[in-house]
Amino acid sequence: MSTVQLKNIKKVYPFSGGDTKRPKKEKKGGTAPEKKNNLQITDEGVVAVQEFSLDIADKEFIVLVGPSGCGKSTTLRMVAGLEEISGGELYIDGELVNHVAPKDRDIAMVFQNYALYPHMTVYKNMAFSLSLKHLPKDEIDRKVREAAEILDITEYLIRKPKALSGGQRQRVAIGRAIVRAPKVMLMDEPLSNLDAKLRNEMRAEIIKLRKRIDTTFIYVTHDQTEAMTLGDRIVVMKDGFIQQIGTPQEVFSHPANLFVAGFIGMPVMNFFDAELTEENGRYFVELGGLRTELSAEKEARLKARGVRSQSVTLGVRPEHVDLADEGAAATVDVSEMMGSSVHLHLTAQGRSMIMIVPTVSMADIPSMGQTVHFSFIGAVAHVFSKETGANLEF
Amino acid sequence: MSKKDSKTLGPQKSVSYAKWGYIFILPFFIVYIVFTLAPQFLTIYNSFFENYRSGLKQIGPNFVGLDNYKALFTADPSGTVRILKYAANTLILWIAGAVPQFVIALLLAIFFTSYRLNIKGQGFFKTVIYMPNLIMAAAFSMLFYTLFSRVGPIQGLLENWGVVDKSFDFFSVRITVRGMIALMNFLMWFGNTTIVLMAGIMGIDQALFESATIDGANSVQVFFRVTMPLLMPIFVYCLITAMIGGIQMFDVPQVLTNGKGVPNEFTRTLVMYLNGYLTTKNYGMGGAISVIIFIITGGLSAVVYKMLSAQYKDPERQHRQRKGNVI
Repeated sequence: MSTVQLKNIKKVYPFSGGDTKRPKKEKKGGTAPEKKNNLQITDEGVVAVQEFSLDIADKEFIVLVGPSGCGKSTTLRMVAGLEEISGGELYIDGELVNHVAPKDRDIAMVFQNYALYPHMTVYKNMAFSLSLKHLPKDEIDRKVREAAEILDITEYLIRKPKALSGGQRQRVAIGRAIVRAPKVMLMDEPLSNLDAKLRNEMRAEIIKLRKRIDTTFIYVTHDQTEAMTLGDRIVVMKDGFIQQIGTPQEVFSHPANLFVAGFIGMPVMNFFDAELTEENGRYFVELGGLRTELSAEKEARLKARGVRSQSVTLGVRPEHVDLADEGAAATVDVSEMMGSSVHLHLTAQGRSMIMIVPTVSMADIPSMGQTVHFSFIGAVAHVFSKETGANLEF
Repeated sequence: MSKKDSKTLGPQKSVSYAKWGYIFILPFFIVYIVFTLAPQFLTIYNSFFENYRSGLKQIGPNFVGLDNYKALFTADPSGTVRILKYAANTLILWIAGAVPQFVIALLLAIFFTSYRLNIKGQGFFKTVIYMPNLIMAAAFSMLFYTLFSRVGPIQGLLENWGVVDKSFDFFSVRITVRGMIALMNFLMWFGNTTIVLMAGIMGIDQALFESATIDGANSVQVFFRVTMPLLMPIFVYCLITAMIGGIQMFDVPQVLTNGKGVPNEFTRTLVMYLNGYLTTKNYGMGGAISVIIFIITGGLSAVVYKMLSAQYKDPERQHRQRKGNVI
């Protein structure tokens, strides 16, 4: 059993020296929070993470994903014990660990820059934590060699980290973590220093590894592809707040708000200013002459929430937009041949959009400046509030 | 581009930037050769000659081979080989100052660079601990001489408290004079060493300390197994430069003891000994002592470097050399 519970976790960096200027106090009513580069600045200091609550099940693979500065690494470091928790409670296996030292939390961590000890060989790097536990030498040797075997790095055991490539160093960093058989494995953007090809390979390796080492994973990344492919559940973060928690499919298909919709999926979702109309319990979106009825499932959810006719932000993913004889008009800006598909960059209703059209369903690639028409089905349309950006279905 | 093509473009003018590099570094080499390298060779050369002034009479230069060296290692009527005594004095005085200097500097460097403690006002503390290094050693010695003289405030204070009686003299006891010299050297140099070690520690990737903490290391284990090995190149540099400075120790004991090395020459250093020969313009003996100081400095530096750097050898190369199992 290795569950992790984060209850209303908060991280505030107090002001120190000339780091950040304190917000000017208003004459009456204290201080209004100020925002600067995604950071919320209050009287207490700079707020990096707040209201973070998450229950992680035993052996679950959780991915924290979000743009730079969203607080995902800070959250991971709080779980590791490398950052003090300013507020809230952190439990590992039901035990409150807010004030437990990192070494006593039974966790292992893989760092973005690998953090291999440069003065030690690969073998000694991997054996370091075990030797600190004063395990017998033969047991250390067995565990190190087993981990090296799994990661295919046996031949590098006598080398020092400087004599390894980026991918090999990453394997060693993972090996150093798995020899300990920790309760929780923490990974802080472990693939971000690798080139694209190696990143894909290592991603597959981590999926295989996860099956072999039965433990709980918390993985931080800013790459939504990693998040989608690795996580059992993903936690999308922005400005220190959780935006959505769900399985990759849930987050992709039912984004909670405009930010999640725009962050998850590649190419990014297309957004339009549209009208949502409700007629006798049926819901339609109207966009530049195109009127599409939402799916029954969506209609039921909107009805349950008592959503009325209103101006909305309509979101449709590029792969869900189809070329049509009739529908909303758009002008072709650029077309990109991707082999199996063509990415059409269009301008429609004053907004830029992308449409992915399979090559097989396309007679001719539309030329630049040509007007085309597009449509979509109601099941793939997402309607977001103009005011709050929240998905009106949830 | 083919040969033919390049010909059609006409003769190409090549610019040699390398010569400008040599021209720019030439002044340094000229000064170095004239004022450092040549005197060093002259010193070695002079050490093989009898060459001194006796009253108004100049003796030599006469080639005497290794006689100057033999004379240095010949016992005086009391059975003391002076150069060995002064070498031992120098080493003792240096070690007595250097050990606390390095221990305190290391502790302060770790304290100030700790990401967990996040000490405030670091700039102020760094300035304060570095300040004694700015004071001239002779002035510092004069201050200590005044403080610890028989009519000085320390003597008066200790007499009032009944710790010492009126007959006590700091400058007549071997341990107190050596202690003062060591204390002065420590105070003058621990700030400098702290700053250099701090720079060394700050150059180590913070993630390594965090990784070691997560791996289960406590503060002491992090220090000995991560910080120290990674700091070792800087530490060795500090140690060797301190040792070179220590073997050349002169101004502090010279001014404090008025060149006498009181009591009974127990604070007389090698360079004070050398200075004694230079006042009589005995270039032969002076040269021989200089060569011996050079050999001691070089030898000790090599030993320290070898000892402390051994662990950084490439293990794969060692493995190939031994052709055995390395793990």
